[in-house]
Amino acid sequence: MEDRLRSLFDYQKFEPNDRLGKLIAATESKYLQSARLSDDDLELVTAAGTSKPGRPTKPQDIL
Amino acid sequence: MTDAIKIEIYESYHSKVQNFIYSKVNDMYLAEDICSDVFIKVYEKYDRFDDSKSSLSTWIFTIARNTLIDYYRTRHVHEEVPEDMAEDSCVEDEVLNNEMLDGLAAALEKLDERERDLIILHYYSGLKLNEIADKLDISYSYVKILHKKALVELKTALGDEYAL
Repeated sequence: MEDRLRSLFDYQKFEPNDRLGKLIAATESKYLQSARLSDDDLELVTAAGTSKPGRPTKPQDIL
Repeated sequence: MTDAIKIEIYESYHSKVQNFIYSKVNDMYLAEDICSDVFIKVYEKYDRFDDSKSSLSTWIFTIARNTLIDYYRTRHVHEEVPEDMAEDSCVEDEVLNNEMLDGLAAALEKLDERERDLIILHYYSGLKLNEIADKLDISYSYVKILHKKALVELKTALGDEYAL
């Protein structure tokens, strides 16, 4: 039963459901400080807020 | 599998896979490495994907999850797989979709606020029960009681449909 619950919450991290996301946000805002990105991680985030990989990972590199 | 399909899958799912893995490993470079492994497996196994058994999203998610478990097993020899990572998932047995997440949300909304917070902090945020006891400012023994109560209520609310 607990494994099933973990699966559902893991899937929420993959394909977020808005309704469930609101409940999670409400709980985490009460009890958890927001995660602070390290300086290394910040270098991987563009000004637009999108992430850029540290190395080439275009599908052509995997093909 | 054509290059066009590979690119389409990559562009559709790369962010989802990366975000999911990053939520587990908290390391951007490591997440990208594991993400690459996931897509190599997706491309290798795509010809065996059966859309009558699961959606492409669920299938890719399962590969991502199992790849993460493999990472912990092979590279962290002296560490156990984290508690919040269930054992290997069999695609054919797992039914995961937005409707089920909506059902879970509805069930959580019926819980007492503290029980709902407990479930979310434990199963989503990854906190241990003793850590949750500190957060909720209650005893560890009472957290365990609330935990069991919440699971029973969720099972009732969700019923056999979700086989919890």
